[in-house]
Amino acid sequence: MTVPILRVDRLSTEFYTPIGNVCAVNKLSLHLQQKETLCLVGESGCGKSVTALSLMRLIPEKQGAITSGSIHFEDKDLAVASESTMRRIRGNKISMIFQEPMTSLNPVVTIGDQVSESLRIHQKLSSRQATKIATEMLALVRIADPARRALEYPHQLSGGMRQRVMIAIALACEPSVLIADEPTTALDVTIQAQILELILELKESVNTSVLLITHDLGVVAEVGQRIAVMYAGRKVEEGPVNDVFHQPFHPYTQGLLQSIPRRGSSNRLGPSRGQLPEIPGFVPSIREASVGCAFAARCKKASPQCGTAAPELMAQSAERAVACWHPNFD
Amino acid sequence: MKVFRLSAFSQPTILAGIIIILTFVLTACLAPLIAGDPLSFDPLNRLKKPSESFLFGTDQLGRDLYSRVVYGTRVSLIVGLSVALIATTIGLVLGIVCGYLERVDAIIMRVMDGMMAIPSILLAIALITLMKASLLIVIVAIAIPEIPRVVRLVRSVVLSVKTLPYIEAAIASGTKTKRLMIRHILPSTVPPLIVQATYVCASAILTEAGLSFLGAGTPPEIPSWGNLISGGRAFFQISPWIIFFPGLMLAITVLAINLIGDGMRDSLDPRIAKRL
Amino acid sequence: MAIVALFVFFLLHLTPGDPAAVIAGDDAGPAEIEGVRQKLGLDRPVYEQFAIYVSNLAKGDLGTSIFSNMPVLQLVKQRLEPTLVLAVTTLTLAVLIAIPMGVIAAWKVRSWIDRFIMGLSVLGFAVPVFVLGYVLIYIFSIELRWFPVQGYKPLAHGALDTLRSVALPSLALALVYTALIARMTRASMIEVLSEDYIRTARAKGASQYAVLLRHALKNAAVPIVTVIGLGFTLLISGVVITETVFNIPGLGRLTVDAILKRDYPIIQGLIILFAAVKVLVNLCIDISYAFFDPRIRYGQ
Repeated sequence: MTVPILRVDRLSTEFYTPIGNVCAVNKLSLHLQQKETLCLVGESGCGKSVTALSLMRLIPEKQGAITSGSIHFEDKDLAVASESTMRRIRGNKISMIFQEPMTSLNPVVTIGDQVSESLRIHQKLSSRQATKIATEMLALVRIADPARRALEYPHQLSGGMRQRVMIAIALACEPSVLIADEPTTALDVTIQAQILELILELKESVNTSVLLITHDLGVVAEVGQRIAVMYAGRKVEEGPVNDVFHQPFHPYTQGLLQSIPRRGSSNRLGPSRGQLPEIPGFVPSIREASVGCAFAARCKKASPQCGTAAPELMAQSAERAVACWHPNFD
Repeated sequence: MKVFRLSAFSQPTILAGIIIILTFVLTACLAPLIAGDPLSFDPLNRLKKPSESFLFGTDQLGRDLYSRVVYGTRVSLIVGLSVALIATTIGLVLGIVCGYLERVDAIIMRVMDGMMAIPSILLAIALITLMKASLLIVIVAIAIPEIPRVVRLVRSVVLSVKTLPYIEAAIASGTKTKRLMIRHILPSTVPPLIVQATYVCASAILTEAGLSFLGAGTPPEIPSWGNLISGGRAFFQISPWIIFFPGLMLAITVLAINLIGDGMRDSLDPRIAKRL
Repeated sequence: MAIVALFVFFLLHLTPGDPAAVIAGDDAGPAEIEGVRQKLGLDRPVYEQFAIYVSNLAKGDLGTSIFSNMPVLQLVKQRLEPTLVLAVTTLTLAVLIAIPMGVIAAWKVRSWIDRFIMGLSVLGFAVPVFVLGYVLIYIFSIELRWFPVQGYKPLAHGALDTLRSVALPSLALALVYTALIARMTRASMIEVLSEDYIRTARAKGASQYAVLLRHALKNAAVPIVTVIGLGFTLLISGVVITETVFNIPGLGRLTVDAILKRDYPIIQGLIILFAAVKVLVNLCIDISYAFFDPRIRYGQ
């Protein structure tokens, strides 16, 4: 295996609350290879977005902090790097796009200025040069009439176009890593497909690796090469998308895949008609620190062992790993 | 009125404000007991510095400044409370009427806007000079410029409450207009109104002082802080205490009232109240 | 504006008793009262008086002072400069001090700097202008002798002297205004700083400085500018008192003297003037909204 572009090693992030610190990300390890699309998957509240913000060190000081672990990128450890080092990296070597295109753009600054801002900060270009490249970026993300649009303001653009602008902003400095936090969740289905396609294309042309965060397995199926499944702040399974989809090891992953609505009654694992299979129970609140496996309360295969010790991640092959006492191997 | 959380009143700033105000109220009420005669003058003791016998010194006519300041407390508090009461009552009525009856609303708000365009001190002075000077006239004249702001506040509350579903439900079940106004709309207006009332009170005390300072306010026979300051103008360079002591009392009183108002306002705002 | 004109006109007629008698004063004889009545045209029917008044206004004629017999307009011109200089200096001072204070308070929200700044602003609302004025005079004029105690040096004699004479009054007057603006700046900035696009700006690697000023402040501008406009009326009220404390021969003093002497034409003229200025200020504020917020420019 070649050296990954980004390697996260047992990262833990905690938030400060009136009732004490809560652990949102629990000893998470990830690696991102060059030019690959890794999908980080899980339900709302499992810690995916917090992971992304932790990687960029964008968690406000007063709200929380990385408590342990390391983030290896370009021979630096981002978990402990200085703020000025991080500023040089953000928008430049590692970029991020967010879920809400409607509110993520500054309403009083023109589109062109917003795209060229990172160029002016990181590449020290003059404003004329930066504007020229910004217009090219807008053309790259398939915005019609880019020169005119560059002078417009966000409220004059539709949601899909705004997300394209966000992508243009993120890729302007040709970063090595693009973190996309639920980029299509707030968009119409038809636009979703276009945006995903765009991200894939640009990944090739700009030579970026993509960490795609989503709760939508359909998106994973479309664009993902590898998948990492998170639950309650921990990674519970990982592997190539096709392999995991065909043979999920972890009961949670199984449950997720089963609950995708399918046409007809071909779902051999669930009831043959009518009812949509679901995972019983609720996602545990991160305020409840758990002993043992966090999924145990909802798991059909739970045993006493699951309640006492949290399972470690165990590699099943060169590419697959799972954290479970009773993984499903058939 | 569970809107004001009781825990809010244990915050240090509100507590300080309340204690200070209570002290002043006590001083005002017990004035004859704790201070000498504010009116008797003693030319032999003119412009004496603060000392043991004259706590705050004496003014240009030999009057004991301490007594005059203590009695001045009464004026300020009475003016403040009265103006607050009058302005909020009239403002409340007008505001509810405006919020509820659209035709009347347009006319009244135009008049209110016109009133707000004239600086309040000037308006007050103008009103005072129309009549013979007395404390009552001063109170009324100060109250009138304060009314537009109260009307605006009440009106905006009424307008926002009017559209809530429970009002529609009440109308649908046949509630009469008057009952609707009193039982359903009025309660929502009270908390912000009380907060505004404290600010009106503070503003009134300052305005009264300003007016008296200019010579257009409380009649000179009655010792008010503004009058004291005005009287001390000519002697400022040699006897600054004549201006400083009443001024200090003014600042502390207004500060205390503002602190109470701020505290109440913070306890109303759910975002801040949660942390209390 | 129409309301103001009406009000001002009827001010005279609202007084209980005979307006002419009120103006002439308590100890005027019947002949004098009659003289006043004729001079002011009070012997003509009310609607005719109003018509004459309005038509005069349109011509720019604000009437003639009863006591000095000079046209009101001329009196205003004489006293305009000091008040204008004072107002402009105060406004500039207030904005230059308050906005940075508010921005810093919002940035370091809930820290001791924030609490300190907010504490200052609470104090600012409590100390009356005239008290502060005397305190400043005591410290800076009497003890330190940096600034003149009173009076005003016209611009014609040299700008530096003018500034020296206006420094203390502006400072005293600016206090309340500063507190008001600082508070609103802080509140508006706090709201803006929690918006998503600020996070985007940080994700681009923008420096804290750029985030605060370039991204946040422009968005926070509208409420701040609004409060500057609202505070303007407060400014005028304060000018009146400040000019009295510092003995500055400006419009404020003119107004107070006129009111005390019951020189109604001046009162009427000045009130109309102030109201007109307020309308103008509001207009400027409205125009500035479009500058700050493109959504208003293009209509949403």
